[in-house]
Amino acid sequence: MNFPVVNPLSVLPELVLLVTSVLVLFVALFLRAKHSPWLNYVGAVGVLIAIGTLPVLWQGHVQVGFGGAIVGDHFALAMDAAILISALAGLLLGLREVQPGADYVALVLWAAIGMMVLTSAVELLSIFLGLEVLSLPLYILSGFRRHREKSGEAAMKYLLIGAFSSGIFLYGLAFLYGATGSVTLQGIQTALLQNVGTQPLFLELGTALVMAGLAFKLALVPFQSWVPDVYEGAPTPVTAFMSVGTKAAAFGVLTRLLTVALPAALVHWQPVLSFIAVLTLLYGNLAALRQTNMKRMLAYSGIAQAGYLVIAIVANSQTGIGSGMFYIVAYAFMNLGAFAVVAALSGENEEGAELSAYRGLFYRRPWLASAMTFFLLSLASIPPLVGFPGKFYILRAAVESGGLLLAIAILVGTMISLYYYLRPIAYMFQRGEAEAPVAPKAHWAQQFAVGAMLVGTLVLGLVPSLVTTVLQHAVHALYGL
Amino acid sequence: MLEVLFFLPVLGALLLLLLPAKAARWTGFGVAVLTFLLALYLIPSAYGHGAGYGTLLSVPWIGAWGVNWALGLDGLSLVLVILTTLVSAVAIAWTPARDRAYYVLFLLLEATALGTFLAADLFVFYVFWEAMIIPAYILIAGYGGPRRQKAAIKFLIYSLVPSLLMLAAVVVLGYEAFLQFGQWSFSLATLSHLSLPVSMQMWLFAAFAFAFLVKIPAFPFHSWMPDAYAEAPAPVTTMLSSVLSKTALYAFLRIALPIMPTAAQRFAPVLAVLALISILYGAFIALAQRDGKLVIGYSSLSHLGLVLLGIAALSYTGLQGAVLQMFNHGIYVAGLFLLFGLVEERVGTRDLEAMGGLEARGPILAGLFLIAVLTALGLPGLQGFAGEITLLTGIYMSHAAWAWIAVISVILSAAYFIRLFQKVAHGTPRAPAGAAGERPEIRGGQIALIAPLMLAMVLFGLYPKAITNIIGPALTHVSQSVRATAQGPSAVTSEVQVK
Repeated sequence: MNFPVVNPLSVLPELVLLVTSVLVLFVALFLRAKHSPWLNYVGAVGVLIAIGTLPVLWQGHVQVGFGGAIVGDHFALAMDAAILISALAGLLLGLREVQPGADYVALVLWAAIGMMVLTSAVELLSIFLGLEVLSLPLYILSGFRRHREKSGEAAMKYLLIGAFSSGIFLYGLAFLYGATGSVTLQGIQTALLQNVGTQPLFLELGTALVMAGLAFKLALVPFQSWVPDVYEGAPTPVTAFMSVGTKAAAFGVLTRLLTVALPAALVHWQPVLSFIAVLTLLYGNLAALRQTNMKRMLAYSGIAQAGYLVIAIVANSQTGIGSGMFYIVAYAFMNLGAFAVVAALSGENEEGAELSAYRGLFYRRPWLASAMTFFLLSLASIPPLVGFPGKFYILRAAVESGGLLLAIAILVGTMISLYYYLRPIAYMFQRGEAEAPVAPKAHWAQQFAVGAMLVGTLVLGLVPSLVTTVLQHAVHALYGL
Repeated sequence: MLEVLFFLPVLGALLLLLLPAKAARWTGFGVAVLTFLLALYLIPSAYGHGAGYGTLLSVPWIGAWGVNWALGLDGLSLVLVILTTLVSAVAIAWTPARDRAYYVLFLLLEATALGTFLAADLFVFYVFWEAMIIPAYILIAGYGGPRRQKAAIKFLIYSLVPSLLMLAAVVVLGYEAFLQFGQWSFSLATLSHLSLPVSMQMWLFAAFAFAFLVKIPAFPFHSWMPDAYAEAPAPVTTMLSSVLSKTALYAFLRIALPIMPTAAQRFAPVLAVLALISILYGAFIALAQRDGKLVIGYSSLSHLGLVLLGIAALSYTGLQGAVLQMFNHGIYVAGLFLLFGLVEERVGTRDLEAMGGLEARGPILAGLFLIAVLTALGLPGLQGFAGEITLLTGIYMSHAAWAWIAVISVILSAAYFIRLFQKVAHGTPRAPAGAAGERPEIRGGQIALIAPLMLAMVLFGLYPKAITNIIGPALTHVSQSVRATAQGPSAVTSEVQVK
């Protein structure tokens, strides 16, 4: 039997995380206390090392591994950075929020491995492998707070819907293979371009099902119904991690699929996806208006943000992909920051996540309230915060590709979103009514996470070119330039 | 040096975070005064290259998007920069006993307002235009009166929604630059060379004008104004009315007219109608107001309506009067709001029916207030008159009918301002002697603080040419850009430069 060339360098960050997770599990065997913050620290160090490998890999040649199934190109590395940052946030925020333990750390790391495999997979089977490795740990993590009913409900919902969507996705992959006779993305593209032995019906079905499967992960309408319950029920650090990490991974694989494998099927996916994008951002923004719980509000806002991201994909241009990647980075900073504040404020029972708990926050916790103000304004894409160049970039991509209606949809969505992003800010500046429960003092890791995300939100808002030039390389890698 | 003008208050704000809270007020004041002195120092650098910017700083900011960090200073921006720095310096130190965040936000508000006046790149302008809203919002929401929450959120929504339409217009202009010149650009100079089809110009102009009209504010987009002006603390109201409203009027001259000249011609009658309604509506409401702060607020609606009418006249004299009056209004409205704020603080109410007798109990305060009131109602020899007469002349020369309607406001203006002063100063004191139980008299420090404003009211009343000389070349540029594309004789029939 002929074994393919493995080339461990192609999955170096993933390997680092894998080794770390094994180490954590192994160390936990010899620890007297079942829960120790040191496990989280070890995990965090592992993630930091993995982040450290990214620039090294970036400098070198493109690493192809597993017989061409995995490619560690610039596109994958850039998305990996966003994923690793969200994993780091998940671990740090978990220090107080979740009882730290080896299981928590290992599950976060494994989910991150799945996400990173997903962004670097260029072959259908490894894509599915990545999706499953991502999903299974997240099912467990969303139900991690066992004694909370909502957490259990979240895990159950997520598991059922997630498993269902995986099935649909796999079915779609099978159709794509049937239509083109190839499992590699490049092979599918070639088959479609040469139009040799392709089955149009299979191709359409496969494209539709694959998009539906990923739409579950990206939380696009009409596959979004699980999001609010899962986001609310899951422990806040897990919500923070998966809201950003899953989006980055799903965006990565959807982009790769559509631009590398299916550019010839543009006529099939572009109108549908445009329609879905507009529906998603309108639905997310409108539904968020009525939320009184910060986590649910951020969940719906996340749905809306996914709509903007899909518009970046639909633009189907280098500008479009670049804008989507930049938006992921922007979203990582502002959304992780917002969740970090929520985590710092909510106690054991998460009563602090209710909007009413934010009344007068500015006068009790000025720094946290100021940071939250910046995160929310950034989510509402107000300059000079990172959300603004993000939104601007996507607008630019939409206008360039002639999607004026999409641009208008973005603006309408943003206008609606002003209401629910600004309402908590107004609450925070209400003096007097101190009905809110006294939140415990924020853990240093939470403070650190809030601070780091705030710096990112401000600096990238002022100097977006720090990232845009880097992402340009990533886009070139995707287009094989 | 231009960038220093913007970064000085920003750095000052950062410095405040490090210093003890007790030093915040005077540090903030010191930074604001330094900024003002720097603005004075920069006067010579506003000239030199004819009609263009005297000084232009441009470095790539987001290179891939064609965005440059471009700041420019010419006569037009210089006048408003001086206004902003002067009013900020007076207003920031006006009321004592605020926490540190107040002074930080105040300096940031000043910096962002300066940014909008200096921006020579549409993207930069937009960033400042939006960023300005954040400190203004927090200042209203955090330090305002009892109904500040509603006022602040109303201000925010009214500011942000039109701005998003403007953002669409900004992107479209950048894209047009890409289509016509081969690369994305937001440089105001580049954009003014675009040849845009009339229908597109109309849409773009509408998007910009909407955002600007809300910010001035003009009828019918003014309904945020009474709430925000009434609830914000007096120095913040001063900034809103004196400085922030000018960013919008300035943007008409700097952006809307030069880039979309044909649309400006077409839209001029619409703007004129809104301006005329603002003038009369504001004046009548001011006449009937019981809340003294809102008398000043609605007078502002009326007076800025006249400025807008001058812009809509699209003649050189109209524009000249508009800019002159922008500067003048900024000075006297600041005086009015600050002094009335002091009266309110000392008497404990804004209700005109509950006031009275200030002349007897606080003669100096009443005297200063009288000067401000007389300036505002346009007494010849004081600052308000020069602007008003230039505006009315400019409007009359091109659109006599507009001027006939507008001139009614001069009479009304005298009526409500005299009524305001009467209620505040004459008669017998009706309210108890203030919450603090002290005499309603201005303190020595505050006299010194407001003296520059008072001086300006008199000096520029006697010698308005100081301003018109400064703005001359820049205005010629603006009025020519509109004239160059005049499609009918209507807008530019009679052009006489008032020397």
